[in-house]
Amino acid sequence: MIQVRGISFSFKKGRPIFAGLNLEASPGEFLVLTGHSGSGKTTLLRLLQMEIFPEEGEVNVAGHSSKNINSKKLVSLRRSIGVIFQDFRLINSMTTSENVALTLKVTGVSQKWLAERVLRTMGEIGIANLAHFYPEELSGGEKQKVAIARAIIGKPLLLLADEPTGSLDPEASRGIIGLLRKINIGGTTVLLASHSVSLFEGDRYRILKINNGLLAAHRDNGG
Amino acid sequence: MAVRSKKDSLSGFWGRAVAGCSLIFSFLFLFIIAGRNVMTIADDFRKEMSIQVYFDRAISPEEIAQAQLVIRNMEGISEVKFISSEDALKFMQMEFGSSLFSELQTNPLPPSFEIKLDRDHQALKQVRKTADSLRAIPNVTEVDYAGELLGKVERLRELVIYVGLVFLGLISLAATAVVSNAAQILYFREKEKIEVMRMLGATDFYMARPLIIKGTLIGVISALIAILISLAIYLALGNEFMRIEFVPVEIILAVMGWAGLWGAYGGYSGYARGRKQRISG
Repeated sequence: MIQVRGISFSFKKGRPIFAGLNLEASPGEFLVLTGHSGSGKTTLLRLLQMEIFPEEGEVNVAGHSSKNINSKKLVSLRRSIGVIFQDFRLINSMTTSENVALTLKVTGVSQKWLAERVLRTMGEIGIANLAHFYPEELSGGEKQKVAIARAIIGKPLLLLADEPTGSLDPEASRGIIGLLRKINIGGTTVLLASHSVSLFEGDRYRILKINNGLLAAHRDNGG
Repeated sequence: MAVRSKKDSLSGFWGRAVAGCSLIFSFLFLFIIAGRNVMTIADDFRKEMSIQVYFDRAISPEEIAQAQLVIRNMEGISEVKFISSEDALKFMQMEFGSSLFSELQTNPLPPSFEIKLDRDHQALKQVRKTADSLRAIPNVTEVDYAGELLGKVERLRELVIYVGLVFLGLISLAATAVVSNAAQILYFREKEKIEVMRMLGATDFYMARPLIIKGTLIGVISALIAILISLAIYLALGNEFMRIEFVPVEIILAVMGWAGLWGAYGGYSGYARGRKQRISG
């Protein structure tokens, strides 16, 4: 699902973030990416979304290579990836159901199927009762569930989550991780960036740590 | 509440863009009216203009008939009117009073032809060419036409056309700038929404579409408002004061179409500028 081979990357006039980083993830895996603040977790997720490109090496996600991707393939790649952020990035002028529907709307899914799929997905996440609320009326945990529903409604092959529990209390955080695990069991590959790994103890996750621009196994619970 | 206030602020924002473009297009329509007025006056002058060909007073009737035949066969001649010496004197007496001419022993006025040119031969260059041909006819003593005035009218015509083209260019740039800036500001207001859509796999066209549609509407609505403003000014000045009718429907439709196209381009350029700043920023 993910092959990152020997990538180097640095921001303009900045120190190198990665120098020869490698990463492999098989379909259906649940990877947790950890590291101190500024270690490059978010940058790696942006490289996987091909929002930015490596100076050297290659990123390959779901068959799309950073070496020969064009704008048309980029659109196709983004439609096969679901993304979740710490700050949710919900659109405040839209209701939660409209936010969730947006993923399908941009791909041109007909209105007929839209409502049904939105309600079904929101039901699966357990937020069907929030369909007519605006994001500003929701708690942090509820907002993140809406963001998850929006990320998975298009049935992505890969789900990227950048500090999805960063602004939530421990109980809400456990709920979100449980939900992501359930999605992962359904077959979706999950790559989650988090500065804390305490939430992942005792479960079947592969945890990798970014240190000095390279990845190393932090702990492998599942074997 | 917050959503409503954002919508209100956006409608005010687009309202200002429409007002700006309406003002710009009103100048265009008023220029079209004024320009057409000048062109009509210039065309009328050309149409009314005639060439006077004077002959030697000793010319015989046969020679006059011969000259008339030559003139009628010349290219671009639409009307030839013979004015005998006697008719010329009668005309002068009517104009200035018969007492002025009572002392004269002989008629000093020469016979002449008053010649009018067809529409395709009314330009100064062609009038000069025709006058040269007329001078070459035997017994012609003088060829007279309002060359200097015709030259001024032609320069005025050219000026209207050149100024019109420059004006049209400036109007296009100004209208595009207004729409493009409006679209760019909207891009930044809607930046989060656009970024989310990009992340979800929206194409550039999908994201730019609302701005293109709004730009087109701004162009068309502004042109329509400008027509109403121009009509109000035209009527206030008084129809009888003007020599021509209001802007014809074909030109109104052409300007509206053109305004819509530039509006669409402005909408897309605002999106492209916003996107470029996002990438380089």
